[in-house]
Amino acid sequence: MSIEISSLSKIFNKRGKEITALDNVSLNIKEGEFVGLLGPNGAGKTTLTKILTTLILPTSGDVYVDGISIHDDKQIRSIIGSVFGETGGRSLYYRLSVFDNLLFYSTLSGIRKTEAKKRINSLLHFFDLEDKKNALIMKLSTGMKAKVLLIRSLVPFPKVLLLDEPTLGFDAESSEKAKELLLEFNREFGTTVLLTSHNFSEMDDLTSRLVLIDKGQIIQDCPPSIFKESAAQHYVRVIFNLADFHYKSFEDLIRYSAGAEISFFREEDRENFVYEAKIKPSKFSLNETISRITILILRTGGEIYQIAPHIPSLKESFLAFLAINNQKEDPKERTVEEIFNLPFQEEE
Amino acid sequence: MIEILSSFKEETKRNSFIARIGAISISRIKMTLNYKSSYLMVLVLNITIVFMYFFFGKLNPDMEIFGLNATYFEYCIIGLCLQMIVGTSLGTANGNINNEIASGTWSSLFLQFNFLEYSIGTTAAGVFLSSFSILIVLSIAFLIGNFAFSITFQEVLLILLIFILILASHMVISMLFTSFTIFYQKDSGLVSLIYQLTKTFSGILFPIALLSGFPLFISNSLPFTYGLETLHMILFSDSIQWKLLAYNCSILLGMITVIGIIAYVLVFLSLKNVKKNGKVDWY
Repeated sequence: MSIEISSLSKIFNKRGKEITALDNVSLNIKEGEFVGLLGPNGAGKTTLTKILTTLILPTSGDVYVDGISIHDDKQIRSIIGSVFGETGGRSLYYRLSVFDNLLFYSTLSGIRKTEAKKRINSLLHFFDLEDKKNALIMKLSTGMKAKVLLIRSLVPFPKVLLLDEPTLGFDAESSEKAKELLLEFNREFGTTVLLTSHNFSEMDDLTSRLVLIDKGQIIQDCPPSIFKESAAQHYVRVIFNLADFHYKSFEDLIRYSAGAEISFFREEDRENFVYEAKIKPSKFSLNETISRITILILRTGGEIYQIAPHIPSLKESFLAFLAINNQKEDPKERTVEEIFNLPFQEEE
Repeated sequence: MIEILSSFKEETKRNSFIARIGAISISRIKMTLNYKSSYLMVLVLNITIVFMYFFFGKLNPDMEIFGLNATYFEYCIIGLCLQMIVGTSLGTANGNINNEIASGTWSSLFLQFNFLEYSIGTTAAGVFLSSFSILIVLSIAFLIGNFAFSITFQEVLLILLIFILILASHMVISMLFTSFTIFYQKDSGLVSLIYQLTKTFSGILFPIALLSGFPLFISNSLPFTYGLETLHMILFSDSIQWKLLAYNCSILLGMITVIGIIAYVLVFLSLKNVKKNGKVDWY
């Protein structure tokens, strides 16, 4: 096992008030796994990453990285690489060049200069930063600094990578390159990666397992495909034309004949009676619901331009999970129906 | 991609304690030199102060100030030159940690943090840089005022030993105050106080023989007093007083050991405290 976390709790004491950042968290990550850590702001993700990097001590519980207890910080630090979710590269020395910064940190982490230089040069070349090699950090753009931070975490060749928003500020091309590189490290060298990000497409593309953390507790831990199916429900998206349309009678028709509920509706083209609806199956399967909606619209003299099942995105599932978790906390606040009747958000 | 992967396939060799200290020193020197205007200003300031005293010393050798002969100012040059290096070794470790915390590099540095390596590396860099101004001053003094010493190889070795002891003793004081800086995430300002006391009471500007009572007690508590007394003895006495040398060296060594151990324990406790309370920087 690469990362073993059992009954981990962290309570901060701020001005006499106790704040529970992590509440009895247990998590096992196998060697070579690529795990995504999701959660809203203040959920406890950063606290968990900080504990794993030995920057803070837990209040209770045990954490082992590659069989080493986090209390043996020197050993742990020699096998982990980390990017702390930061904008502007604050943890880099502004009055040192890109190359000198990377060489300094890699030498400090214990790698020999000749090896470090080779790795730094190849990674700078990969991220098209060769011409900025001798530029001072203060002269770089935010994206370039983020690239330097990612390179810094990789040069010591860590067994475990703890990445908090590593591609923040990257352009699209560099972001793809970073993904490719991280996947190669994971596949080729079996590097265990714990990635924290709010970039859902990145999480979806890279991770083989997602851990959702909220209010200091793990509320979901499964592969992305299951994650997407677990919380947010599937629905049917239909664009149709129907002359002499009445919303109330259409809604009743859908409810009683197709056993479904309209969760979203809008007039797309009022003059030509074109409408868009998102319909949530409640009685029949998704395919059965599609068939019934198709028949209903055609029978009432309408025309269908588009009808397709919609599989929820990672972001939709994430929001749905959080909504369910909030509902558990305060059941009176909102009903489950109300949660699912919220307008669905399209994937970025 | 293949190039990257192949560079990582080679076995990772670990570097040594010395290499890491060297990396810290070199990075500090480069950082300072990249801030040219600031370094140049310090350089000019150091040269001005030392040369000013040298100039007054040469101006009128018979002049007396507070009962001290003006030639004493020439004698002061040794103390003045060293005082700058002492100031550097006193302020560097603590000052650098304070800068790391303020600038945001602390959390990343903390991952690879070895307090002893960091203190030695930064102090060595600081001393190297501040020695430049001293070298320039002494060269000017030599060229203009014919200020020179002829010393034996044995004296060179002894001066080197005292120099290292002076630096180490001030470095451990800095390390002691670093524990405060790490604990409270801010500078205590106590290093400046010690520096001012050193400048006033350790025999740089006027002889310790003039001191009595509490000032004398302060003087005897400062490591630079013993270092400077020994250096003056080596440079200005006809022969080396081995008893005084051994006594002063023992005191310096004792101070280094005691303050060093206390500093190490306090820093360890401070680090544990910031880790426990989640105060490692902004991250």
